[in-house]
Amino acid sequence: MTGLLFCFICRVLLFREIAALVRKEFMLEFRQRHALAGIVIYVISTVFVCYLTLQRVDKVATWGALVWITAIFTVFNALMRTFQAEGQGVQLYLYTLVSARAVILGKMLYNALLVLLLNTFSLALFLLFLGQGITEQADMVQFFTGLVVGSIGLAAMVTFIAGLAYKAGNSPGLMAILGFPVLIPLLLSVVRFSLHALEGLPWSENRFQLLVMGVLTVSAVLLAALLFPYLWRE
Amino acid sequence: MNTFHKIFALCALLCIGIPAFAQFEERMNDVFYSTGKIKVVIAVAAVILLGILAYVWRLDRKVSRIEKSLRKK
Amino acid sequence: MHPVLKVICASLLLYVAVFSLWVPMVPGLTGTDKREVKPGLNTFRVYGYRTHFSQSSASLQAFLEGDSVYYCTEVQALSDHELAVECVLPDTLSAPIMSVYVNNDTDGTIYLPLALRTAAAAISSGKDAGRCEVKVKNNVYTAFGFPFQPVIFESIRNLMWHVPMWFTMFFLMFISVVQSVAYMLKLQRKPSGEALDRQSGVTALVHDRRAAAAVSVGLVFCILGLLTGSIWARFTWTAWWTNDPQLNGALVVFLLYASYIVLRATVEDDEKRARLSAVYNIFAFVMMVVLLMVMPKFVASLHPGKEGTPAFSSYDLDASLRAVFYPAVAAWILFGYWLYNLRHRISRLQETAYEHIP
Repeated sequence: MTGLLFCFICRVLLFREIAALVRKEFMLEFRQRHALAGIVIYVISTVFVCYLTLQRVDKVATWGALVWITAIFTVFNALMRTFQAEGQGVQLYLYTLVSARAVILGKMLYNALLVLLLNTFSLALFLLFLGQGITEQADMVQFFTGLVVGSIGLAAMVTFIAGLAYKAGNSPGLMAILGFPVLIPLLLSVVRFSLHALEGLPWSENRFQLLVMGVLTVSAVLLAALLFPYLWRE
Repeated sequence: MNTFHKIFALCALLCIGIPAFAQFEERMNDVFYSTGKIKVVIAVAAVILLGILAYVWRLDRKVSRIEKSLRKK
Repeated sequence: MHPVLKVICASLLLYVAVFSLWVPMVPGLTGTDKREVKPGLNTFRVYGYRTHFSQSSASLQAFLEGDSVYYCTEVQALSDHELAVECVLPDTLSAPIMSVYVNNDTDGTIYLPLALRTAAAAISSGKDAGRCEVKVKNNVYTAFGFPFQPVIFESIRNLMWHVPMWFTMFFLMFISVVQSVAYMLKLQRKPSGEALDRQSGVTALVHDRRAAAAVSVGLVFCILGLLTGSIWARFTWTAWWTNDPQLNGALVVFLLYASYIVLRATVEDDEKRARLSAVYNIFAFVMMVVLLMVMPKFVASLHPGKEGTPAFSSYDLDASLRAVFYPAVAAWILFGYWLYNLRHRISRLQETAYEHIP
């Protein structure tokens, strides 16, 4: 019985396939460095425009909103090409080689890392340009925790939606239309969490938002693993 | 059912509503009708009725289009 | 849909339309002419709704309640709906805000919660300096009628119009997600990778058609719920839109399912459209459940049943409201099902009429 369970877990979690796929994604990204550079430039210019127009932000809500608006658009820009980048031929090859579940989970894992990196970068830029008014009372460790969990959740959901939009003809407008309503529950809780963190509230008062974020992320990953095989077949 | 019939049916529906409204006049003329907020209920009920009617109208148009294409065959 | 169900639906709708408007309100207090009380003699007016102050002036009593109860020495009925009240209060008061109670044989004990502020100078942190030891009669009004809630007044009747819209929407979205799952299971039945043969692929599309029909009718109820909620909010919470988790959630649900329709419009191929929209539908339903049923429970809301709703808590318990509200929910759910039934039959006809299938 335990042996069977072990086999089942290995089979479901698909460790080896996912690791190989994540490596493939890294290679692909490395070969298309210009795309990543484009997004980095996008982040820098967004933050710089915010700095030029606002000079100094004293209101916690404005600061949090700026960080998260930048984060959302970064995620959408970065993940728009996640299925496009590899082209039809590669996808057909993958289709014969690995299970669909491994494909989506591998992409989610890689995208979560990518988005986390980009969002950390943009947070660092925000602290550099617009950090003065905010940092005295804020609990930055807590804020960063929110950013990490939120980025993972955003990446998971947007990856899934990108797959859906890709299969439906991949118009960029469609991805935004499908993506935003789905993201709003996560965004609501993550923004609330970050604002509480910026106001310097203790962890105990913020635990619930973290729980909601976690539950939403986990349910998105599970649903994607369950439903993606239906998108993948052709 | 042509457009004239539809309008006629709508008027008939409104006429059925008139006695109910007359009963409300009494209460609306009450000293406290402004605080009674019965108007809000009437507005809400009217919105629901009109919304459902609009949807039925749309369904009706769909059916007529189907009839037309069947007739052509 | 079985004819018996249609008859039940029609008669329930009739019952709800009649009784939600015809059942009277129980008497209640709408307000006072002053907003503040001070130590010493206070004179103010109290206004009632559907009350009988003159008719039963012999048994009239009025009192104020803060941390203690203060009996009003002079109560005079100016009309059935207006009282002139005199009340002597002690020098120091510990409650910052007081409720007004009025009592007579016809109307029972009716009250206006948190009606009068205590003048700031008179508030002390200690005990009240004195209180009137008068035995207060406590009548319980037993007549059948809708409860009188402050601020809401007659618009409590909207409970039977506005709220069933959401129940119906939820029911229809549930049908839709069940149909989408059924479609997926039909696909699953074949060994993975191999496409369905043409005939069974076409029969599986029945579920897709039903799912789409349920969403399109559900969206109608969603729009009606938003509109009616907005009107009701304007006259109770004073704004067309308030920043309330349930309200925002409802709008997001609208966007969620509107994009379902958009997704369906962008894909040409029948089988592919069915597959993609079923996937999105299941995902959307889970998000909707989290948004409408989980998140608002933990955030302060103006809607009843949660924290931050002072005067609404006695709502669910009232027998008179339940007697109309439950039938209303049943009636609208049946009606929604009826519309859904019509809608998917029409789309089936559309397919045969426009020659999608040979």
